[in-house]
Amino acid sequence: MKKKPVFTFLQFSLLVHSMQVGTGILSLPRQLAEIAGTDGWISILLAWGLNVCFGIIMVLVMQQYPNDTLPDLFMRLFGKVIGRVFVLLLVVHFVFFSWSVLVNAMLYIQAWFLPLMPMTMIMMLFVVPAYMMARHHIVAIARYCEFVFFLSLWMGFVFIIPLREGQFVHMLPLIKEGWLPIFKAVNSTTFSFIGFEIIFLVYPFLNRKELAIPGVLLGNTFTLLLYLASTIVCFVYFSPDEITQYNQPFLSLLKVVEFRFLERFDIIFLALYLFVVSTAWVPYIYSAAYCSSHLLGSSNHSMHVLLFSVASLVIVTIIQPSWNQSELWKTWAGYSGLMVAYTLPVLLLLYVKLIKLVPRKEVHP
Amino acid sequence: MASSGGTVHEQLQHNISQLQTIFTLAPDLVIRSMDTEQGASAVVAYFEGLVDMNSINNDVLRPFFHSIHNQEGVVPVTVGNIKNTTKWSEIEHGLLIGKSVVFMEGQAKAFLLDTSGWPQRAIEDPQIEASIKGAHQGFVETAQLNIALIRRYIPNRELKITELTVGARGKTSISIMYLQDVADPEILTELVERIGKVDVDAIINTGELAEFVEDRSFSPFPQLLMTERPDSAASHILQGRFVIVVDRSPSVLIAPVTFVAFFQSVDDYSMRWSIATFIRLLRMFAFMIALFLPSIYISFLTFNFEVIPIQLVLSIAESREKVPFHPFLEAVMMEITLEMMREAGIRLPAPIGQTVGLVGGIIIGQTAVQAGIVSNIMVIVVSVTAIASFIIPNYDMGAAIRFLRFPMMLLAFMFGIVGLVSGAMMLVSHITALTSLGAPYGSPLSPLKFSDLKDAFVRLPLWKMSSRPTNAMPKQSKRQGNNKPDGDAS
Repeated sequence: MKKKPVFTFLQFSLLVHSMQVGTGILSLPRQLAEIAGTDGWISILLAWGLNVCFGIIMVLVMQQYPNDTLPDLFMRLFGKVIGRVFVLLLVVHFVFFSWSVLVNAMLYIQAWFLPLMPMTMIMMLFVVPAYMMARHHIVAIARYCEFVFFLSLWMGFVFIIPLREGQFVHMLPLIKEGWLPIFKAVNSTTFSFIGFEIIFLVYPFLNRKELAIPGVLLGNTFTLLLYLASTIVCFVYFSPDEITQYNQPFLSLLKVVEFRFLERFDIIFLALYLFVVSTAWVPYIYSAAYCSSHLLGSSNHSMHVLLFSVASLVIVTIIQPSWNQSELWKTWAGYSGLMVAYTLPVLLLLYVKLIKLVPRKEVHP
Repeated sequence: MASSGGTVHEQLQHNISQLQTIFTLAPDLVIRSMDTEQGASAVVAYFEGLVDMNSINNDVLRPFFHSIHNQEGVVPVTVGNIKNTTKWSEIEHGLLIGKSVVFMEGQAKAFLLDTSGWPQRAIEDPQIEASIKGAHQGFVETAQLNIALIRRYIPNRELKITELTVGARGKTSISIMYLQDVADPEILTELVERIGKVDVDAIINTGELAEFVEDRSFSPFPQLLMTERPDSAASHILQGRFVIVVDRSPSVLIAPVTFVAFFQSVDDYSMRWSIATFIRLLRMFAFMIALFLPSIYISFLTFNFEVIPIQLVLSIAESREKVPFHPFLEAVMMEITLEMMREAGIRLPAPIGQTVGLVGGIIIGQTAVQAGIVSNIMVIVVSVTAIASFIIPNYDMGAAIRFLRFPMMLLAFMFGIVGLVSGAMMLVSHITALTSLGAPYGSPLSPLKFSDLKDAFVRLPLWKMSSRPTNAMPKQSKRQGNNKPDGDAS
């Protein structure tokens, strides 16, 4: 239709939330326990506060130019040439992040379901639906995220089942090792909390801009609750020493859940969890394609989505990624996330405030 | 076609010969000349069979011969709808759609009389959308009658009709009905534009128009709701949607619709709301079963049998021990047999159709299992699936689901449960992105509209439905006042 597509406050916050939640949650309890022991859950709280702050900074930047997405903003602030360099950085970040989420999910699926299946085939299972969704406008993608969120709400209740056998005494005493390990562990949540940089791309489509900050808060809070619940349940269920021995304590936890009519509930859970992970990679692929189409000056991003999909299939076939590589990429993706989600908004805010100070004439029109 | 230009001549004889040149080789064209008492002569022409003979005899011919006054320029007939024209093209079209034409000596114009009365079916019970408590009048093949059937439900001057004609040869008249103060004008513009773009010989049936007008023709899902029930069409108009009446076709199109609209039936509103809710949930459950049950069975049996409890595995293994085929092949075989039986049942007359059912039931239900071609459990799975797919009230949606089952089974066969989830992702992505005339198809679930959920998967009490669904972007969202009965609370 002719009207500019917009999305609602709830869709906005759920988009932020669903981009953050991916495969990170599966191994997060172990990563936290390795550094901070059973106090790791406090790190999640701290990380949440930090991420909300940076999310708000992003909103503050975007408020200055409410009709621009980040690539538009770069072009406006820095001109065509330098702007393109920045957009290229964004493309690299988004492509890399989508790739690492996809590879990570693929490795899980290969390990748990299809050990004999070629990686390309598994990748195809992800990439085809992702292509079908990511080639549409971000508003449609936000609807998808919203739908999947409500579709998978029941998964939260599964956490309660292992609690029957949990020992809350594992959590005590609070802050055994002092605050330092807790602060250190915040760093390892980066990969799991990255995703709110989508604010940069979707702010212009928000129908009520004044609700952007509550939206960021709500989205991050959903993520916080999810991570907090899963981490605490893992800490309570496993003993503090045991937990670091499992690669994905979260999945090992689910093995306990069993019904009369269904054994190995974890299999079903993980398969359905793919839906949740898909709401992370779909917006990422969209973002990558959106930025790269801006880079080349074309308004249609669906060709770029196709290109990404085909390229990822080809690369998977050639490289045959391993767990170690994937872990490495995850770390790198964490770094690029640090750049884009934490450093960039601060710098941009300073820059924007600065050019507001100088007389209007010198600013690009 | 070349002779259809030009205008009517004053001389009667000239007009008659012109008529004969336009319609050569048309033995059903009747040209009746009349000399009235006053001496002025006139000619009536019509196509036999397309007109109502009673009307011709009583309202045209009789008044002609008994006419007392003969004013200049007035044709002495007792027909309601009369139109003057001078253009031959209009005369030609009018004759072909069942009007009769009168030429009078000395007048350079013709009179088109609406005497149409072509062969027509009586109004009957809707065939494929039977209902228990709803009205028992279905649409027929005449647009005027169908419009009248809808108007009977909404006697309101805001009920407007936009008329269009489609088809170079067919000249099918298409009427878009809507409430002007409710329906979104942008959707109307879009609809008129899309119908205007259709350039075909003729539209024989409503389904053809739907295919030319819909948003995505590669989608398996129907994007316009086709119904043969006037009550359901009227209720959609009241919700701010558009109804497209296609002449000569016994069903109308409703747009824009949502996915859940295909799971609703008029009966839902005349039942107790709690029971209607139960039935709607049952339909959604049946939708899941029809789409996924065979593929879940295949994937559990081929890839993920550790999921099934051990006793069940044993009993499945026992029933499958004689079966030489892979579960996938077994399922496809059974599903295709079933589809063949269904198709055969539709085309055959009712008495033979029963035989098909009987033969199919005995052979597939029993003999195939005894012969060891399929397992017992597969028969159960397939029949449950079939029943589930027939619960869906809309035929097109049911067909879409039966069709989608096959790719799902293939995915389950190749990748197990992960393939199934991938297939489900594709479906969700597709439905989320799909639009019906630009309005989101997945509403009210995606985009989520809490207020519209009152009449989607559940059916809340009618007094709760004080606003129209937002999907069709109505201009007036208030539908009704506070009707909550006091009941025993007072």
